[in-house]
Amino acid sequence: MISKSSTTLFQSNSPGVRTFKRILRNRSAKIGGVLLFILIFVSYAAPLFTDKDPNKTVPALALKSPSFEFPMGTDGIGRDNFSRFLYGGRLSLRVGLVGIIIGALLGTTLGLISGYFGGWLDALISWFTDVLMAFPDILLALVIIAILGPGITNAMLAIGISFVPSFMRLTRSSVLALREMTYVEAARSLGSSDARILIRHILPNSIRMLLVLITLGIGSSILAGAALNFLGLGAEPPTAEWGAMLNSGMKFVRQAWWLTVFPGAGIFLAVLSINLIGDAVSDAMAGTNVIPDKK
Amino acid sequence: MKKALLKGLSVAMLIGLLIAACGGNAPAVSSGGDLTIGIAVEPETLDPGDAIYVQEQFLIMNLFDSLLATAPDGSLHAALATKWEPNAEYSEFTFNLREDVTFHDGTPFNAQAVKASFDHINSEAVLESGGKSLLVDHSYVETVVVDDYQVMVKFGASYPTFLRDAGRQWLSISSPAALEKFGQDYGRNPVGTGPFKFVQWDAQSQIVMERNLDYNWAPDFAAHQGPALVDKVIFRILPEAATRLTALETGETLIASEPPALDAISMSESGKATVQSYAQPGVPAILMINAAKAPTDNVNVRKAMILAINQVELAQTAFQSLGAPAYGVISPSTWGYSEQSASLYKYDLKESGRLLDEAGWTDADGDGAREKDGEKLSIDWPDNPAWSEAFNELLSGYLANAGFDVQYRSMDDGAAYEEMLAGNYNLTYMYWIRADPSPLRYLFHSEGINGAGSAWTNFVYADLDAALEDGDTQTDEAIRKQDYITAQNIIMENALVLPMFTINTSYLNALSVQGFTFDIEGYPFIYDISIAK
Amino acid sequence: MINYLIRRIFTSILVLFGVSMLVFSVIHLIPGDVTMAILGRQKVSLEKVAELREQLGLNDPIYVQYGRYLNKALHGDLGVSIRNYLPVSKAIADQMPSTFALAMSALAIALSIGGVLGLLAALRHGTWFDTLIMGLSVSGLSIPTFWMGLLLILLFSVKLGLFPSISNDSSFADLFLPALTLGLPEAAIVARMIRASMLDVLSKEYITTARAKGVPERMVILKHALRNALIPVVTFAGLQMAYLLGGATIVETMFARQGIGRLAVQSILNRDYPMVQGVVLVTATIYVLINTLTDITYVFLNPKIRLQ
Repeated sequence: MISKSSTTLFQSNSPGVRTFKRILRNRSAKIGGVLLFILIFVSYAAPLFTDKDPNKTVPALALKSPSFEFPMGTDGIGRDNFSRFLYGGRLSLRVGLVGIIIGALLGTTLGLISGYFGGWLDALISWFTDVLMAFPDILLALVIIAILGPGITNAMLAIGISFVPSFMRLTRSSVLALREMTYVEAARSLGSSDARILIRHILPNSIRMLLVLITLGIGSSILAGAALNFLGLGAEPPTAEWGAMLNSGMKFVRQAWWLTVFPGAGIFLAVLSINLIGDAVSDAMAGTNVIPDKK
Repeated sequence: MKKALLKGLSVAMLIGLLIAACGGNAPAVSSGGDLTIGIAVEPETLDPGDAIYVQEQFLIMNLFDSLLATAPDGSLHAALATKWEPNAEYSEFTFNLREDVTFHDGTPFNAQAVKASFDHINSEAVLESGGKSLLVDHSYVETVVVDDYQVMVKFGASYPTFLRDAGRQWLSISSPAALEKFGQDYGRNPVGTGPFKFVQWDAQSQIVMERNLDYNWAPDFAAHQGPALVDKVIFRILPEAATRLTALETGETLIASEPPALDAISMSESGKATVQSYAQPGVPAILMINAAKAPTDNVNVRKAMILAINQVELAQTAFQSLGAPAYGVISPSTWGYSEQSASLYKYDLKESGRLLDEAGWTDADGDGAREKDGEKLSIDWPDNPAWSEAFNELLSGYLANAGFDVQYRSMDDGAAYEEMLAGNYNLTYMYWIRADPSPLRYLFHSEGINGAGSAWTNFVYADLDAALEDGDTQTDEAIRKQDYITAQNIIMENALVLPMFTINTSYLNALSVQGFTFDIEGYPFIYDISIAK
Repeated sequence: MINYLIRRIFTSILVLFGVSMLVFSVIHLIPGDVTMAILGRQKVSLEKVAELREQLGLNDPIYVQYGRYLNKALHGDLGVSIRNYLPVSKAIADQMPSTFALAMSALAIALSIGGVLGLLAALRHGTWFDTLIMGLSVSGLSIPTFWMGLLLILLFSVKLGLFPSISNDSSFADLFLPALTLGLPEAAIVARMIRASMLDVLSKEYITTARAKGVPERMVILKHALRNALIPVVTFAGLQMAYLLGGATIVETMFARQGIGRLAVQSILNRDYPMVQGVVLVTATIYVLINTLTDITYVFLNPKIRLQ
């Protein structure tokens, strides 16, 4: 699933100047935006919608079907599935976001260093990311979890690291293009330090493309997080998380459809909304300021 | 993986409780057909001498025979041995063997085979196994071939329960030729004398056995004689409970092991399948409480934990009618059960709260979790979720209601074991299937602290140690019983364990499966099963 | 050209070298002592731990250990599982055909369904049909594999009874649901690719010229446009094949199929480190090899790159 993003990414080989209006005008982006806003709002403002504790077990009320009191029914040990859906969404979205941010921070830093300094440092970092890219799909995340052990923080870290190569490559190639620009030359001749040049001059000019990559990556990151949780390598019980809820709901798939349908739909809608926005973003970028594609 | 070993030590010395109807002695007709069974755990080996996990025995019993066989009523019967005779000290046992038995590879069964099998278990080739612990713990000396069909098994100490153990799968007899031929790979190429022959093992997928047409030495308590009734048995490895159930529902398997209780009941109520359930004697599902680590080093905190658990509701929610609540450290069907020890705690959230208040744990900030001196009332529970999936969240929920902050940490057996050796736990899950209370010594005698045994309660108390020691050697039954009652009372008075429910072994089978019975240890007796057309 | 080949192969070898180092270090990066993980099943005595450390060579300097590991791996010896003592290389070889069959069928589904839908969408660019296909395809990209697998099982196995819910061999019936689960999201990607690349080609001058010359539209599409539009898809297929070999983890788990993805998850859960190392090393090596081959093929097919 991680590679889904990378395939999408290499398709959109033309991120450039952001034309925010074009994105806003795009119909699918509107749908995606509204959907995403609703999901984020209901999960982060969960206490507004439910007064129930997502971990409070009331065995006497186990497996109740959706009703006014329990809009999404209850699970096998009588927890309110609606609260779990809301709080679980919070975690699933956070895993996706934190994962991609870790990947972006690490990858961008490496890419800046690699592209700006060049030489053996570049060779080393490029080699390192090539090695990371040799692990297809979820495998890199699995290896990292094998080392760190299961758990939600480790899952975020694992997902983050598996995004490092994409960010590193993108930043590096844009730095290579910018390095020789006159204003960078000028700053250098005025005696600015390397760190200052990187942060003040080069990074801001790469940030637009990074935003595209981040937007597209969040979707894959959410999917990867849900997959790790589904495999039992993420959140510890009783913590609610969509992937983990789906996994435990599978036991009751015949008696309680609401335990698999809602969390599954949650993941689907979240990723869908981000992909719709991402499509619009890369459409809007198309044809403007094409950077040389390394491949 | 000590825990797994303990779970495997299921010497059913007395009669287990049989819920499923016995097959009766109606003449059964060979129906043929393939019996596909969904099992949860892939075995690591099919070498009976090297096996350690409970799940492996279910497969091994179809491929192998032992010297003796234990009937479901607990009586001893002839199997590969026709006569058996212990000496006065119960340290030497002479067996007369059947002369008409051949192994699946065509080699004859004889005294040499018995010696080779036992010596194999005792050899360096086997690192640690159920069979090895039976032999080594009783100072196995040697097996003497008296003549072709008579052997004498010698131990360095008296071993009063050896005849029972000689009927267990772990001491089954292997073909010496195959042991020699396959060496290290024998566990993947098992050759025995049982009703089914090993065909193939596709890792992560299935293990296939076919009927042994020469089989003519079934124990006399079986419902029929001669070869088994189905042509083939296919054990399909399906670790996810949901998958096992779907496969049964779609007819891809005919028997599902350990089905989710709710589905099992609803499918049997709707007449689509039959639930078979076997209540195991011994130590029920309990959580051992670490009395050496805060906050559970305080007896009131431990008592408050037990009082916070509604066992009736827990068993009902997790297992429906397949589970029974447990209140003591051994279950009622176990010999020497103490009614008194099991009546000390009944679900009482108020009393639980009072005890915690008294111990200084209060919820000052109103977040639901109690604190003392700025510390949360945290309970550390490192565990392999494979064992506790059915109830861990439920149990955490009860404890949370009483103001505990339960930190469940999922990990595999190896990592959990390391945490326990390091003392980093307040709770650890345990059960031990056995009809005699003697495992209590491994679990509660202070000699077993710090991994030397399994005394994870870390509780040192001379009277308890004395009672457990005497129970191990005492020959006067009445005194022995009193020893164990004393031990149970001390354990429960000091709130060392949190009892949950009795262990049930459940199977769900399609309506076409006929003649389903359990053997003494709670495994389906596949030999007598046939498939209706 | 030769230069490119040599350089490409050299980088791949460097990458594989890095992969082997990373895989080797797994056993040293895990918290705690690996001997404890190995001895988990046994009663532990300190002498035994010391003995095992010696036996595993854990007392040697790290580069000696790595050299030994690499040397053995190059000779096909990936060590022995610490769960069932089987050779890791054999365990992987046993699981590989099943994963391969699954990946191939998923790819076939992806290319056929995705190809046809993408092509039709491009030809009906801007119509409701195009919108529908693109909508389906973005949904296909967004749906979690495990959720779709579950829905497919409920529909095709439980309700309709058409296909098995547990899958074993490589027969059509056994492969259908797993391959569909794995292949549909890929089909979504293929549809988008074909559509984009078709639209791109159709706007090219030579197509306009061909049309102007009066070549029948069918011929324009099939002979001129499609052939050029397929080039990126061929590359994609190679990469995707490699990716599917490692990406079948969830599908293999859901359908209880044999396969190396499932082997990876199981050995992580069992902390069977030699097995984890072996599976990861083999999967990554295959991935790198296929990647390299795809790149080289691409260069051969595409003279423009060759000239650079």
